[in-house]
Amino acid sequence: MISRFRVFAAKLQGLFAPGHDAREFDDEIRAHLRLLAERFIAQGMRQEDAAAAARRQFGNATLLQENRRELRTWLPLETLWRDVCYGARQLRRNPLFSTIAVLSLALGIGANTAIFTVVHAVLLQPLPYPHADRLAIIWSGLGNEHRAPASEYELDQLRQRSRLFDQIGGIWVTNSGVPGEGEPEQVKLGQVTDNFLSLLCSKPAQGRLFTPEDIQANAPAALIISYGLWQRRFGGDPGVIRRQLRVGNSSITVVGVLPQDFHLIFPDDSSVPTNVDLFEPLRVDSSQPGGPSYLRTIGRLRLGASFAQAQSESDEIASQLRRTVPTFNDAKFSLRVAPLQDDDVRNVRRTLVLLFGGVVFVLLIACANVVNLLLARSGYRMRETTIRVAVGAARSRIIRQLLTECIVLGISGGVAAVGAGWLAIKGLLALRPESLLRLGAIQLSPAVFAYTLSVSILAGIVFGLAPAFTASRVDLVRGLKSGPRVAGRGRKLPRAALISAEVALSFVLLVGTGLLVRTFLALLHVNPGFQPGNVLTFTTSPGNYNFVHELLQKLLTIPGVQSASIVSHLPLDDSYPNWYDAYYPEGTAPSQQSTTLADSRSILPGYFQTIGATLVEGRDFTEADDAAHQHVAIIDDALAKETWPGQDPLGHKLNISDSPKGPYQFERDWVVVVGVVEHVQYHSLTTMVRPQVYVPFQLAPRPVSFVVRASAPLANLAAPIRAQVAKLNANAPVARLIALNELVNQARAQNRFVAFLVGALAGIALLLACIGIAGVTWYSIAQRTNEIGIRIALGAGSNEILRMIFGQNLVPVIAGLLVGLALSFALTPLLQTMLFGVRPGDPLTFGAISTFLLLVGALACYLPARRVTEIEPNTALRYE
Amino acid sequence: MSKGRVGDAKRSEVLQGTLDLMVLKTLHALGPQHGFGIARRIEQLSQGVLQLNEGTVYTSLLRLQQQGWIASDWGTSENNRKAKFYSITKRGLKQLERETDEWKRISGVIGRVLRLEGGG
Repeated sequence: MISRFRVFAAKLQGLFAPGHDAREFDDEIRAHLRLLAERFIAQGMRQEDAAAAARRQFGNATLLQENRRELRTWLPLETLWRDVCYGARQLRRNPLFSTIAVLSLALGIGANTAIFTVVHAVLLQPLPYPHADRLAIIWSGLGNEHRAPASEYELDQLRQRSRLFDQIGGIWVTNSGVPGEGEPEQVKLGQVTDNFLSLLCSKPAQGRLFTPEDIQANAPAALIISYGLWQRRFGGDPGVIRRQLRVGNSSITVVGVLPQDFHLIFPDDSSVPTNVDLFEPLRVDSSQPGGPSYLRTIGRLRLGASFAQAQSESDEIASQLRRTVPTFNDAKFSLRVAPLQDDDVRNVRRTLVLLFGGVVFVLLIACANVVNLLLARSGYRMRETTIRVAVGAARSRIIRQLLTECIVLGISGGVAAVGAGWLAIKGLLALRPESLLRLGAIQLSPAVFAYTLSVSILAGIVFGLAPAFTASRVDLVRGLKSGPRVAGRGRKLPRAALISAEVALSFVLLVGTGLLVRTFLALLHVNPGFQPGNVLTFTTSPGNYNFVHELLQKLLTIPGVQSASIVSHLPLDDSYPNWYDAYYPEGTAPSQQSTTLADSRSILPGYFQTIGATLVEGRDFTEADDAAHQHVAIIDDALAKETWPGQDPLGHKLNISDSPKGPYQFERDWVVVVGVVEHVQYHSLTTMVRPQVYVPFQLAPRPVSFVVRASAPLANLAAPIRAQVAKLNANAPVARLIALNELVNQARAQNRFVAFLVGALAGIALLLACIGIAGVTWYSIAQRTNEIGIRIALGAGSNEILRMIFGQNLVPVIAGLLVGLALSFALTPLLQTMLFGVRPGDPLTFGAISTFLLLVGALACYLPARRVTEIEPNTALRYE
Repeated sequence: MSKGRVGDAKRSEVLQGTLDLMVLKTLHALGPQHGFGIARRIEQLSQGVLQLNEGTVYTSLLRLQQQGWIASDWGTSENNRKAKFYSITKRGLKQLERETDEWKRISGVIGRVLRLEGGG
């Protein structure tokens, strides 16, 4: 070990002071020669003879210097440099070859760079929180619902009973106006436990985070604001800390500003958006188990505890609660612990892994292409290699040189790829797939560069190895005797195999694209249960009935507005908390009362008409459906079918939670079903999450969005809507003014994004494969020009030869097609969860892609093959 | 089939090792020496049996120096010329001991093997 180190040190010295060392050594050798010569002269030799004799006795001094260099420097390093220069010269000398090779690699590696950037940012980079690897999200389970929020009681019980979490915190996000003076603005307000922010943020930008004092019974109201809001509303004034802001008749003190890069990164079904601007401390009332479930709970594991241990502890806690508290037992209560990051990315992980698989395919195709080119070229270079071996180059030396050349090629491709990747990332960002963007900063980082570099070198080695070894297995005699063409003969099979592989891989990508595009098309035509066209939505506050009612009257006066209403949670919109609760019909046994869950929606009359939902049976609400009259509800057809199969649900009683006793006092109550509406896809276009119960807003007031259907272009409605709101209340902010169609588009965004990406990859793959097919066909003609000339001279028609060449080169394409078909049948089931309206083995897609690829392959084969018809037998025979 | 191969590494390696041992022993026996002196001493001891390119002594010296078994310093030779003097280091002494043992062991084994063949 020590001696290794010494050698290293000596070499290092040699690297930095090469000249000095060499001169000293030269001096030493010269002195030795002089002494030897003097000795010979002393023995009676003539002076000239003595010098020669001395040199003879001393041996080869140049070789000695070389030896010294080898000992004192990294000879491989020097050789490497020479090889690099030589490789670069070779590439320059053959620009067509180099361009195609570098372009292939740029596409292959560039696609890799782009996707890896996303994978790195989303899957590999830890969340930007202190001790991110110990953060867990804790879901409550109720009956069939496994991703439910926790009640305050549950949170408190977890805190008391858990030994493995050192902190457990919770958040609930709602909407609020910004307190204080200035333009009315509606923002997200997070109600958080006192420890929640310190779990996710090590140090605020200004002031402090919440402390247990903030939730004392008589503590002054405290507020923490986001950096963005601080800049926007307070001009970044540090004096905002301790400032009292007016809210209605009371006031609230700003105690802290969060850092600029602070974002909430929560799973997309948690109703916790990234951009929460206000935080208020939440006092957890743990006195009784019956409270509403609404808190998203996170915990930090103690050092050394594992998620599996935490899960089994939570299982134990859940079972204790089930034993001691009857309602928990009835609800089949359970707890699930998941690493926060895993839970965040659970929906995109599969997509990203699949995309990553796709880019690996593209890279393999690019490599196969370059191997093909190299193999073709190594035929031409056989003579050069043979000569080098003949004059004494070692096999290992030649392999090294060829490998270096390939790595130079790989890195050139890599450099071009960083450019291509950069463009690709810009493209990715422009497409704005929100489900990905919220998860991490997607940018070129050192890790990405390191990845690209490694991939480039690895690719260089992969596609360099085979040609290098074949080229170095030189038959001296045959190689020197033959012309440049003959040598490549034996390598036809591997090239055909490479073409088959390229076609097979392209086929898989094309089929994947086909299926995803069909999914997207199916999504375009899916019936979401409402007609999103011509509907505009917005939010405002205050949200009391009088204001809402008056505003709706005013909205109806705007020219072009056909109807207007409100709803507590828009379809396909995650920006509001989603209320859902247990429901049961009369006669349900107590143990079954918590097992069926439905989304609760508070609406006013005209909602269904406005969003274009279909009332199947019964009636819409009226203004008279309030707490003072009979409590009524409208259910969706899914709930009707589940609860009263084969019966008319109208007039039946249903037990749900509403708040007949006052705002937010959600209590269990019997309501009478007065209408049935077609199911509306509230959470996703493709899957039905829960059935729905609609209750009159007067009965269960919740934060609401307005919906307005108009015949006029929606863009022209924004100004009059703002005007009407301002007329009613100058301090009322208008936010999230957005077309309902936009929400539908957003719901399709990820599918569109993935379909587009896979499509782009498949396009690149197809292009590369075509280049490969054309290249091999072209080369096979070049190689056989002589033979073809003879055939023509002997009377073969050029069409006949065209058919022969075409047929022979189409064989590997067809073979690849068959392999691809089999491979696709094996691989497409992996796409299952991403598909909608189409099965993985969809015969239409497979058939269309087969035909398409066969046609494109045949064309790529035919176009260069046509060259044979231009061959002049005379030239061909003399062709060397 | 004639395949391109150059260099026969094995033979030269044996020679190398032997030369290193001889150089190390010379420095041990005679104290600091310059390259020319070492070459003379080996020539003298080999009594013309060993045909040696004297240049290889320098390769050996470099190698030994790199391992830290010898040290070098510029000094003045007996006829008043600037010359590089090599001397054995502590580590070099240990190495010499090890190599001498090894050499004795191997030459003993080879001797025995050769005797055995002669007898059979």
